This record gives sequence, structure tokens and C-alpha cells, in this order.
Amino acid sequence: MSSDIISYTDLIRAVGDLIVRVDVLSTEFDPGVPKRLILDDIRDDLDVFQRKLVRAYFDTTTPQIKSKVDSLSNINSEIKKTISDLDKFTKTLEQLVKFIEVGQELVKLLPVPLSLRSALLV
Amino acid sequence: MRLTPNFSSGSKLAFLVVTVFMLAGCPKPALYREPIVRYQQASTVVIEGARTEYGLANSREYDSLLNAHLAKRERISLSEIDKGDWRVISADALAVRMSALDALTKHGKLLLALASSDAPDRAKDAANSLDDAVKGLRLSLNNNTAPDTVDAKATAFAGVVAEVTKLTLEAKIQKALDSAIKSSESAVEGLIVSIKDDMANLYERRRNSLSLSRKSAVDAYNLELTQKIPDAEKLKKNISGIKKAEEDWDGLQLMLGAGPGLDAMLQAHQELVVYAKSPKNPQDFSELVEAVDAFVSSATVIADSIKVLRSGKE
Repeated sequence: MSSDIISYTDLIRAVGDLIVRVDVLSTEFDPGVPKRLILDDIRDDLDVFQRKLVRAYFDTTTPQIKSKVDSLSNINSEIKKTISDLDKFTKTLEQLVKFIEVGQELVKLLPVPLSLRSALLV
Repeated sequence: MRLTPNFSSGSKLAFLVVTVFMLAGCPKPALYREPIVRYQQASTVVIEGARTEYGLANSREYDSLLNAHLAKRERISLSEIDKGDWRVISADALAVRMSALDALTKHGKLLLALASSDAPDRAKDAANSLDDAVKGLRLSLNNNTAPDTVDAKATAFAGVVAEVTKLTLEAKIQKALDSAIKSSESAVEGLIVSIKDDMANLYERRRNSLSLSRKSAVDAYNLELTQKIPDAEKLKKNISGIKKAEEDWDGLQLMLGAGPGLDAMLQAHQELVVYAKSPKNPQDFSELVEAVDAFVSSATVIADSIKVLRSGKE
């Protein structure tokens, strides 16, 4: 999987898929209970992450960025394996936190936003 | 990839007429007319769709964030809003996008002027208009980032303008049309792809927001159930909220904005380029007509979608 190039829009879509999955999982818990509060925070972080990605056009093939994008893709694959299984909630949570951490590392690498300029010059 | 044949009766007629003319060895000054007129009409719709999507992008973000604050009873400060994080497209970036759409519009108008008129003046005016649009695009690009970087796509457009103006002055309209299409290939297609990516990303933000609405609707119902004596009226209202959220969620596929239209526009433009470069035999023409038909179908859907967006019923 890591050898595949994940495009900028693919990454944004993948984060979107994850947000939808987290929302679905969240409704298994009543608002305000501890597990739900954690999921709400994770949802907020994913939302901010996605908005930052949309604001910042970037090339996912540059080595540093590609490494982070690949990590996100791998973690996402792990999350998909467990997120529908409530018995594996802890494992899912660990991976979600990891996803956000790597996402934050990626954001630090992103160029200053943004215009169509970078896209036009490709 | 070839699109599924979808000839309208008008297109079939145009195809037959052109075939007959070609077999008869007639000259072909108006050969492009029908597909270019339709390409231009569909482009106008798709570009308008993209403008609408861009125009709504930030207000959707605001709505979503304000609703989230309301749900959590969180404070709102103007400094937080002013930081710019609440916008999904900055004002400068929005200006670039509007300029890019303007350049695409003017390019389409230039093709239309060249295809539908034998009057060189009209084509010259259209070329000048594209030139102005390109200057606007460059200006907004330069306002947005480092001014010393040359924009490849804007430069390509400028080349189109110079060549077309020259050929138009020489009254070589057919050649000017070929040139306007061929030499703008990378500029037009680069812009379409960039805008298409934008639309895909804005769609994701929309999906994100609707997913949150679904969750909130279900939460409201479940929360009422946790009350000692759940209020039957509130429960009914909450169920209606869930139904509405689910309808919106299911309707998401219909709210693709200009994205699919831009795909079809790209295909149609690629066929225009192929045709401009071709010896212009009937087979080349039928492929062009096919792509333009698909583009027009897509634009029709977008036109309906724009009406819905503007009426606030999305």
C-alpha cells in the first residue's frame, strides 16, 4: 500500500470517510459519557485536520509528506478493521489518536496556503 | 476513455449535415459551430455551478462551526473567527478561483466567436476579453503568493490570445479556431482539473457537515429517551429531525455541485483538441459530438442543482 501514491484529494476523502465512521460509532454512546466525549474530541480534531488540508494544496509525492500520508493510510486501514466492532473500542481509539498525531505532524509540513498557483504549476 | 454514445436528434442531424458537406468536398469554416455552441452553453452552466459552490463554501463552514459551538454551548470570539481558520477558502484564494473561472469563460466565448461568426472584429474582441481575464488571473495569483513566479497556465493563455489575434487579423478564422483550441490545451485542462479537485474537496466538507447533522439528530432523540419520562412530542420532533437528516444524507449524491460537470467538460475539451488536430473526418466529428453531448447532459443536471442551491433547499 505504501508504494501507491495517495493524492491530495484522495487523502481528504479518506479523512472524510474516517469522520463518517467516527460519527457512526459515536451514536453507540450517549452524549456526555466518557467514551463518547473522547470520540467527540477526536471528531473535532479530524474536522480541523480536514479543513486545514482543504485550505492547503500540496504535493503528496514529496518524500517527507509522502511518508506521513503513507502512515495515515496504513493507520486508516487498521482503523477500518476494528471500528465497527465495539469490543475492539480501545484498539480503535489507540489508532484514531495515532492518526491524529500523524495528521498534526503532516500539517506542520504543509506549505502556507494557498491558491490555485501550486496546482497550476504542476 | 470514450463516453457512452448519446446522440440527441439535433446532434445526429448536425453529424449528417456535416458528413454530407464533407463528402461533397465543401469547405469547413463552420464545421465546429454546433459542438462549440453547445460546449460553450454547457461550460457556462458548469462554470456558474463552480462559482456557486465557491460562493457557498465559507458560509457552509460558518454554519457548521456555529452549530457545533451552539451544541456544546461554547463561547465564540471574533478573534477566533478572524484568525481565518473558520474559512475553507481564504479571500485571496477565492479571488484566484474566480479569476480562473473568468478566464475559462472568456476562452469559451472566444471559441464561440470564432466558430459562429465570420466577422473578425467579434473574434478580436473576444480575444481581447480573454487577454483581460488572463491579466486578472495573473494579478490575483501575484497578490496571493510570490510575485516573481511566472504562472505557466496564464502564460499559455496569453500565447493563445496573441496567435488568435494575429490569425483573426489575417482573416484565417478556421486556423485561428484550431489554434485557439490546440494552444490552450494545457491551460484549459489544467484549470479544469484544479477546479475539479476543489469541488471534490468542498464536497467532502459538505459530507462532513451532513454526517454531523445525522449524528446530532440521532443524539437528540437518544437524549430524550434518557429522560425519566420522555416527552412524546419531543420524540416525534426528533424523529422528524432524523428523517430530514437521512434525506439530506441520501440526497448527497445529487449535490455533487460542478464536479461531474467538470469531468465531462474536460472530456469534451479533450475531444475538441483531438478534433482540432485531426484531419476532420466524420469519425473525428462523431467523437467530438459524443463528448459534447455527454457534457451537455451533465450540465443540465448541474443547472437543476444550481437552482436548488440558490433557492436554499439543499
